[in-house]
Amino acid sequence: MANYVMEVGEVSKVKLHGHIDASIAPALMEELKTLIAQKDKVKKLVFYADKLEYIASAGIRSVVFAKQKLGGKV
Amino acid sequence: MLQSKEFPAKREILSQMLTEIGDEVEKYFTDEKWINRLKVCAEEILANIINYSGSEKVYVSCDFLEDEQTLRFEFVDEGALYNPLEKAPEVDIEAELDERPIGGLGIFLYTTIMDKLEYHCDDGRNHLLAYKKLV
Repeated sequence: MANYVMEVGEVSKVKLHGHIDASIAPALMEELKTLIAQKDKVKKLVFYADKLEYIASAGIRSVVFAKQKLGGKV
Repeated sequence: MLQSKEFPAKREILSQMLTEIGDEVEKYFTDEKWINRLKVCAEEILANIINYSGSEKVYVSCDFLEDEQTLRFEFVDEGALYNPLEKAPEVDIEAELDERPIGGLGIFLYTTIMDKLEYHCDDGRNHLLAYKKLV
């Protein structure tokens, strides 16, 4: 089971929970890339990490990547 | 004690390696935060070996140094000789996310969390030792 849920819309939400390790982070990155490709439709992207227990650098890199691509929308 | 256990250096095996390392860590650390922090360190070191060393195998040891009340990990690989501590990039964690370089975070995490790290090359293998005193 993926340890994140992505809700795509004008205000897109990425809810991270449990463990985001190097085996899960590539799928998260790919979904973020797909979302970012439609960035004109996304007014805001919000990450929720209150249920996140563990994140490896590959996961942090995905969040930083989204921030760098979407700027103030994140 | 985990004694020089051999694993294939493959991403698909990473979870299994971390489970076994986590089992060892839990014998000495009870705080979930610290258990996860040490697993993050192990994951970062192993991910670098898997992704960049070219080694087909990785050997993992974990033992407890009673006198120093310290857990010691050793990661050995047979890939290209490389000392990750020598060229550790500086990471500015105060910088805006927009301005941050995308790399270097893994080594930053384990050099920050662990108390001591040592690298040596022996018989053409990379040996990385990581120490964490009980907290």
